Amino acid sequence: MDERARFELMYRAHGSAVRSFVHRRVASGDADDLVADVFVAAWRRFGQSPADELPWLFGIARGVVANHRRGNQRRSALRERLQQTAVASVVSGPDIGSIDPRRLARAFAGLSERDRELLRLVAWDGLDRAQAAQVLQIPERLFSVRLHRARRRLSRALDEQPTEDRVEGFPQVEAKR
Amino acid sequence: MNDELIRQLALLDPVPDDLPPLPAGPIMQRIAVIPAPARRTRNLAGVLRGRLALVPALAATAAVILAVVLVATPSHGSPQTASRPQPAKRTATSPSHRAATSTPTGPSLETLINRGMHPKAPDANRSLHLLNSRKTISLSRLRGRVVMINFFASWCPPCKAEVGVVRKAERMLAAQGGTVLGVTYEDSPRGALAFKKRYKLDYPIVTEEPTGSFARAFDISGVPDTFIINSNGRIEAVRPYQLTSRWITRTLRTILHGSY
Repeated sequence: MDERARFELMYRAHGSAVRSFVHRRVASGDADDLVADVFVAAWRRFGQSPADELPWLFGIARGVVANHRRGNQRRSALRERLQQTAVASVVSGPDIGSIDPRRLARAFAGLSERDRELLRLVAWDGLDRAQAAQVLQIPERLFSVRLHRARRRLSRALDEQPTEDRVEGFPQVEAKR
Repeated sequence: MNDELIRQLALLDPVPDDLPPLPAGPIMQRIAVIPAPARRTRNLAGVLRGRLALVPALAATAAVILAVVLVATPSHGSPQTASRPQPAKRTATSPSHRAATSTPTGPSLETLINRGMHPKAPDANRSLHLLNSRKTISLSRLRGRVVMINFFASWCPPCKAEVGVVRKAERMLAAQGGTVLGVTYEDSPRGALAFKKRYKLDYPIVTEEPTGSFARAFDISGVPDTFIINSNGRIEAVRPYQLTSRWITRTLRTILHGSY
């Protein structure tokens, strides 16, 4: 099998996961263009691809997303989208347990980007610690320590969130309820 | 509680689980114009050759350390004359530096540098074509000078935003005999030349060769990306995103006026 066929197989195996990874981090209008950029960059480095390709692809995607953010400063848009999504999940009504999702979304949005990224890799991208450490190119043990601290900070931020129903900046929530 | 927190957080994932992949066709078309990369295999013989090649170097290192220890150890008869052992001075020839060469299948340059290593700048002997000129330049010909390699593209907004900082770096380096070397990335010579003229850049700029292999040797997947190479041809620092004045000042001061 030649390299292009092998690459296409990899794309078919991980295209969805990489697309989700990028969509979680940038505004949706740009995300699909960036997904294509990720795979072009992956093709250039395909000779060095490891056996476990997904963390490797996520590592490349992180670089592409970071470049995009530097150029466009879309963090605020991402935060806004996250909050809207969190709010939407409340409105649409799945039971997500004992924690108020709006408070959790606000607590999460208030963390540093580094903490958010650690938590995203585990909670949203579904990676185990070894894979997530590989994405960040740090030892697994160091990842575990950082994740533990990030969880602790999230927990603390959650405790500090007010319990009022209204989410600032989202008056539509009040209207829908 | 913490695992519960992660589980709850997972439910806030803004992307649906069933997000389909993009159609493969357009992406395969994009990569069709890029040459297939050579696969670097790791067979047992190659690994063993690599390991065995380290044996003489390790033996030599051990011999040097033993000799240093023997010379530095005070004689038993005169303990009062023993001076306090000084911390080892980091030099380009210290074992830790020699061990820190990147391998094609090993960790990326950025990872090595983040781990405190100083790998050799790759592709040092490659002849790079100077922009709008028939002359070439290579990193090996700049040996003895501190060089800041700045990968950039004229279409890249952060590259434009950091021009002032790059020029500041050029002034700091020039005062100590060093230079900035701009390297275009996925850019046309015309675009790069317009960029050079618009921002009145005086330092040498080289155009990326058609295959982009020089950028690949540095693990570049986007721009701007900046590497600072010391006078011994080893990478001292990397900045894989837009430069800041503070970072440049602090980093160049350490390299230019530190122990290197």
